[in-house]
Amino acid sequence: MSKDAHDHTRVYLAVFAALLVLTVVTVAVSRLDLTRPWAIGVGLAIACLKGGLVAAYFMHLVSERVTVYSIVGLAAAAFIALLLLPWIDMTHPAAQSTEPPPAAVESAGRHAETAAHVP
Amino acid sequence: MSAEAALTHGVYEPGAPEATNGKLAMWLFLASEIMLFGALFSSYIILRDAAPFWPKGWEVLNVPLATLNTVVLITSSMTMVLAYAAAQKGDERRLNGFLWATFLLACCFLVIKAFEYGSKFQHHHFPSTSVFYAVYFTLTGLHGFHVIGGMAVMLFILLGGQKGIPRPLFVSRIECLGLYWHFVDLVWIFLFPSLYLL
Repeated sequence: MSKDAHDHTRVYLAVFAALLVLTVVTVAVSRLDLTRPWAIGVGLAIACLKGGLVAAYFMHLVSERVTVYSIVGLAAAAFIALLLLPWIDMTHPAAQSTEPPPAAVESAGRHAETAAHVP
Repeated sequence: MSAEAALTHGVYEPGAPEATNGKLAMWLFLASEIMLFGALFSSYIILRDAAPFWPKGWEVLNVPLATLNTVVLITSSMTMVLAYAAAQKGDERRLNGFLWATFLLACCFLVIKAFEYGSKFQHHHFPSTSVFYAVYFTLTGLHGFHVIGGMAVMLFILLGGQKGIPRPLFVSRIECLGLYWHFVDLVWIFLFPSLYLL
């Protein structure tokens, strides 16, 4: 048991070191002049990696079993759906517009001018 | 090894329950928390996409302070998991030490956050100033309340609020507290790049 706990401590410290390195990397990457989709993609990928490390090792998901997995899986699926829904809406051809005219800005609506952009 | 002991040590035996009631309840609670923050993140994406102008996080927010806070919170997550490891081993001295360290790091996080908020208020930036600040204060504020909630439970345990309960139950409660605390860390890991860096 003692050796086991010692091994766990080493894993925790390794994860901690990885999290610190990834924090530095994510700040450094944000200073680069990446195009917006790349900046979002890389930023999100590093955040997912860090979050994955915390969930897997600090929250012990690597050694859980089906009951906890099913709860986390359901929550994760619903979370991804929540983020995907606005993304689908935004990337839909009919909803694409980047520079709304002043009138549309005022009403915070972006649908009024979309007709002009639809091929 | 009894079922209780098996759970405490993370070793599963055929027929033993997969998780303590407390852990199961904590994961269900965390699932609801994921939905709460998921809804807010989703709203953030929609508001940001619809806004005619959105300031760049690093131009209006203090990235060095937020980076420091990220390091503080990650460190507190490590001390928390070490506290749990000490609890599993029955090492009360180390458990208390790591739990106090976690508590103090959480205090540190809030103090840094207070400086950040203070500077915003000084420049007359409030939640009502713009959609950006509304999102910023809502997300970081709700996260801050979660930090305070975790600290309250830590203090309760540190001041002996769980004295006298059976050891396996006590260890399970430290594990649940740890799960909650790592979740708070996890939320910040996503908040930091999305608000400050993108």
